[in-house]
Amino acid sequence: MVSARGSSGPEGVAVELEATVAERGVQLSLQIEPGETLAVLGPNGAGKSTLLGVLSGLVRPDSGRVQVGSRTLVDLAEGRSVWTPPHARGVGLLAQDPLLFPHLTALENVAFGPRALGSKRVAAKRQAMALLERVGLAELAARRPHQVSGGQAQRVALARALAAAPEVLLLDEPLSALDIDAKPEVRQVLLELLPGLTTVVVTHDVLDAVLLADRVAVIEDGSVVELGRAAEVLATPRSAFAARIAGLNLIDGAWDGEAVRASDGQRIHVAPTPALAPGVRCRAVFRPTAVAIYAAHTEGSPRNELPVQVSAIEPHGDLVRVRAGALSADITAASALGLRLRPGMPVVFTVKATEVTAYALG
Amino acid sequence: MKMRRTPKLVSLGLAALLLGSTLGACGSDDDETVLHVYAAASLKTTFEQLADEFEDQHDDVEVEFNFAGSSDLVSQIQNGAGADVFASADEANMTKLVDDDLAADAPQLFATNTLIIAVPKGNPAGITSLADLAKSGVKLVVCAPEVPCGAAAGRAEAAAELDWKPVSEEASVTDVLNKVITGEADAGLVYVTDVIAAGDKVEGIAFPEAEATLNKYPIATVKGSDNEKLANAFADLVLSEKGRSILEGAGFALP
Amino acid sequence: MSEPSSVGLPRWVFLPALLGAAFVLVPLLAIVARVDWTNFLALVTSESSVAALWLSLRTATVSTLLCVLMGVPMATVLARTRFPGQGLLRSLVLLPLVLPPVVGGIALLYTFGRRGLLGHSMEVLGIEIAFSTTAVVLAQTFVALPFLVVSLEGALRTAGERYERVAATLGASPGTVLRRITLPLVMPGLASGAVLAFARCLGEFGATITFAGSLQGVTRTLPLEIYLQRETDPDAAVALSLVLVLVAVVVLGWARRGGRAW
Repeated sequence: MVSARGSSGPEGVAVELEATVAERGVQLSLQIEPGETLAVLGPNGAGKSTLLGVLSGLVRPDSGRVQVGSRTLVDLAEGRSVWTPPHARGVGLLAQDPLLFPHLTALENVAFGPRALGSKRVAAKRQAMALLERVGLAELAARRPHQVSGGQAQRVALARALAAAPEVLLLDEPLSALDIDAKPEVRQVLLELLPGLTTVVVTHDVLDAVLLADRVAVIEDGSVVELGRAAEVLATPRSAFAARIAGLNLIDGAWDGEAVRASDGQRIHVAPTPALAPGVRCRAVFRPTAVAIYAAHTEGSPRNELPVQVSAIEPHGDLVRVRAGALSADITAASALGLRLRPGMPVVFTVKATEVTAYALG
Repeated sequence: MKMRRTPKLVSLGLAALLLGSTLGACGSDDDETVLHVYAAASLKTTFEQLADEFEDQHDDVEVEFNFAGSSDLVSQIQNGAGADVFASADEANMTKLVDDDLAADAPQLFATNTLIIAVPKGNPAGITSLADLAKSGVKLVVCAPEVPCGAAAGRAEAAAELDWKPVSEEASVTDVLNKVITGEADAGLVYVTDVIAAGDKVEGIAFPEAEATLNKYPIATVKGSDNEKLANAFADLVLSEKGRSILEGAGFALP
Repeated sequence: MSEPSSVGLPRWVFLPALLGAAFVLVPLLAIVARVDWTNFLALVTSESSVAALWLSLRTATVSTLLCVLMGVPMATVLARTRFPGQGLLRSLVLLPLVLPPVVGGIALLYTFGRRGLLGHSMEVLGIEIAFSTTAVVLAQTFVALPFLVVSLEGALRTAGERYERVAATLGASPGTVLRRITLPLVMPGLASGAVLAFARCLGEFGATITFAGSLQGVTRTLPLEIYLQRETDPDAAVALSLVLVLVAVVVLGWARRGGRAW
């Protein structure tokens, strides 16, 4: 994998957190491995934002403990009151809104952290420029925030967060405020820059959880109800929430330079083309809603075509979920009737290359 | 239909509101005659006593005062204010009224006033004469030359052949008196009547050059007054024995 | 981005609106109409007029500076902290906005006057405020400070704390956040607040005449000069009034432009 491991900050550190915030009905306990990316999923109001707040120092728990590496940032157990203010934590935050400082240029925004931490002006700018290059926006260094697109702003915000050399980076739904065209560019940059940095990413999007995270935590009603490898949690969901969002289509294979080649020889095209080295082990991911079903192979289709055999048909909310082995497709009841689907019937699952994302398997 | 009516109603309401407020400002009991007396601010205490007297003598008459600086009062009358009687603190401003043909008859002098040195209680700077006012370190406050009490102070300065450096030249004698009462100033030149009115809050020190500061108070009825008879009666009361005794009690000298 | 078009107003609104505008503008025009133009230049360049204008500009500048020095921290504390009694404190601090300036003058007199709360100890230290230009500055600062605090606090609340939180997570200490984020973001609000304060200082009359006295070149600012000139030379008073109106128009016009800096 093309990785930025360790180049933007110190090697990942372990995080331990225990916190009770009575007002929000939250009681959390969580460990994060050094250098891993932990995705946090859960319904609205479950306590995801509170978790980030406690880590960043913007929310003060009633009791609890936060340990980052060898440092105890918070210790509010009986009779103790260790409290580290946000600026002294080394915990960075990237929210859904980039919140670039409107009175500073992109470069000055990125240089803000180094300057605040004591770097000289010239050194800070050099470092900022290097990071802007890493997110591919060196040419926008002199722009003001209102002169860049939403996706570019979020990339600058990421560069700014990384420039402050955080030991832990918190991402609060970093893609959710972006329009549909901007999501892939920011996702790609995150994929390149996050490995090696201890990261917590709160997301609503199970696809991002799978793509970005090593492990997934599901929070419901203020506590962690599931924690495990992303693929495992989604393959065998135990909580109601995980069950609702699971069902992502995953096809493992190797990158052949143009597409993901599965072990059965099926090739899955991906657009835009990911920066993967030929031969690397990788996984193609797409949603069941992105799949259309045809009765037969269509000549000259630009889509990926997967010949499968229907194994089960079940209602799934407003839609019908059609299972074919490990793959699923969500289609309307009308389409299902039109195709006269029944178990055992051979059909073709098709999915546009732009709906497929591929990432290297670490 | 209903909708179209609303704007008219609203504007009518607004108009009524505006009218109401203007009427309200002038409103008073219909059966009472109001006599408008414009008098110099230094006459406030004495004229209010005289008004009580006047209202006792005349049933259903109410005296309303406008106390201000004489020059303000003249310019208000010149601009059409409905004054019945004007009592000025100096002859210059009365002359303006006469020159504009706004006086109903020849003004009559009813009182004079002279300046006196006012010092804070206990006289902290040890002032005994006009000459002390010119000493360095003495904080002297006088009226500005532009106003009558300042002109009078200038005459005292000239008569005593002094050259003093006041720390402030106030626009009104009240401001001078207040600076003395609060102890900000070591001394101020004010009217004798002001010191008497201030009671024991200040001490007055008379000086021989006071003759030069003599200020004359004329009174006249205003031409075009709706209540000419009453206006004349009020002026007569001021000039009467009763009026003279009230004025004398307040420290005014009589012509 | 083009402005969405307005849904329009009922026509009757324009009548009272026009009346209101006329109510403000006609008296200003009346001043212009009443000016003795042949002598205008002579009137406004007389020694006492120039001294008064110069004193007004000097004192208003210093007072505005003091307002900024004290008002910025005050507004920041009011907008960014919470403590018991804060609402009451805000109301009290903003009191000069609604008090007659004369009352402010009396209050200052009993504070900094020779026999005032602090005046005596200051006199012992050799600081004399009574009848000095310092007294004018104190009076102006007293009445103008709330203007700056109110407009800056509003700007701070509108700007919100989101950027400040981001800056803190980037390692910026509270001091750095204030200096590099908070203040630059509310700079338009601060500028217009300062201009308002400056304009209020220029117009200050009641507190000055009550507390500072009136002496050419020392304490007699332009409004006091106008008040005095009225006694003997109404033409000069009118001419100076026009000067003050013009200065105020320029200052407020500049503030409107400053408010739209970005």
